[in-house]
Amino acid sequence: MRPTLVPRGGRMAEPSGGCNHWVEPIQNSTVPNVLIVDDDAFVRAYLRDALAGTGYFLSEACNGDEAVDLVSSERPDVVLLDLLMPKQSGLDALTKIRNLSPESKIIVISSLDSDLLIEQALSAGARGFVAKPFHPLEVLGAVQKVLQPETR
Amino acid sequence: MANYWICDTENRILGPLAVGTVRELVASGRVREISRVSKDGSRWQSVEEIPEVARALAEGLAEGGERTQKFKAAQIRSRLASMRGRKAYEIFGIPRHAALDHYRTAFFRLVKPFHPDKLAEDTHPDLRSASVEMFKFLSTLMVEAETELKGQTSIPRGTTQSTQTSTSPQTQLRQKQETPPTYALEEFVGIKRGPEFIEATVRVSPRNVGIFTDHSMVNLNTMGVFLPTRDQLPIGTLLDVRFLFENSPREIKARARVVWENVGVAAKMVSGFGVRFLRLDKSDQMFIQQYVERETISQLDRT
Repeated sequence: MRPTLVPRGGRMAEPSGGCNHWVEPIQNSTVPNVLIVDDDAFVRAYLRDALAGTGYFLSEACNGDEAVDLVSSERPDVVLLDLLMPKQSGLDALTKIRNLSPESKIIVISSLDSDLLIEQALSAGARGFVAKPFHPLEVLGAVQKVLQPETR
Repeated sequence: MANYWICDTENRILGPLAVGTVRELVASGRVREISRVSKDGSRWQSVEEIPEVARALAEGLAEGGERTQKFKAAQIRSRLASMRGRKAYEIFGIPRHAALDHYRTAFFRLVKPFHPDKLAEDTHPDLRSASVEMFKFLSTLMVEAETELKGQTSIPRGTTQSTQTSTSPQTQLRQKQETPPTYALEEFVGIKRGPEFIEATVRVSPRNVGIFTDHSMVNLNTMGVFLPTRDQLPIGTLLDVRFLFENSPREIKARARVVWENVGVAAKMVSGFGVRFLRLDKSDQMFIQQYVERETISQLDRT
């Protein structure tokens, strides 16, 4: 049975404060798990809503430090990563995530869609870039694309 | 190549970035303010202490100014193209049979930003010429509307006094439509709660069509709408949203889920929540889109 997402402390996090943490270990590894990383609680909620009904196991982190911690312990299949965040730059987090978990496919989701920055993110190992504001189907399509088996 | 980390006024960090990337981000408007800079991501200095970044910031702002003005010129020309062929009342956003004074008020409100005297001396030539084009178009439209209205208000021969002073239903309707709204911004959203349902009724008018377009995340393009209201609903709430449109008998009902909540600092600007439609008929979506486009064109001073 897919574990239920349970906030630490047993209460829903405040939008201005922390964020939901993934507290239940993955029991069923066949269900893709997606880590949402964004400092904005509302963007996280919006992404969660965009992926609702897919059956994916969803978890969240509100900055790069938390994301790196979660990736090192849980190895998510997909990471949706914002670039501009407190404590640690999303680009630095991207590099660390790539080193910790090369199998995790990173999709950058950011309003900073300049050509040079997109090129830098892709060179650093991101598999895709979705510009904010985005349509929910864009994110869903991007996640489904990276989850497809790679043809050789 | 030297790399830098930048920090904005909300203490959010981005890096490592080349100087050229910093300049591009500032020029495009995606990064507006840099409060601190670091050469290693941990030790922070003011922008002025790192001259190459300060220079990139200044160059980006200067380049961004020109780029923004060219973009605005293109926006004005695009609006102008969509306005040609439309009636004056549609463009001015007023009822068809509005009084001449109403036309004049709407015209002056719309034309103000494009008046040649209002443009700064250093306005980019592209933006200046687009503004002048728009000014001439709106002025011509007003002259034509005035000519037509003055022709319609001339009293035909043989008309009796009683006919002249009677208030026809059309006149009453016109007078009712010309009455400015008395409700505040958040009062056009009414929340009704039942034992097993929540319904939000939204009165859509030319004055609030921005609820479908202004929010960066919940807008018509992303199948959503932002509802300004003091009556908050938590994220995840399922509700029915009913739209009533001013000047149209159309009523649209759609099932939606709350996906956005303005709280804290954001709520001090606008209180409310955003919803995403679970299902919205194509015909309803097109109607809303056309209604918004029609009313947005007539609200040029909002840009």
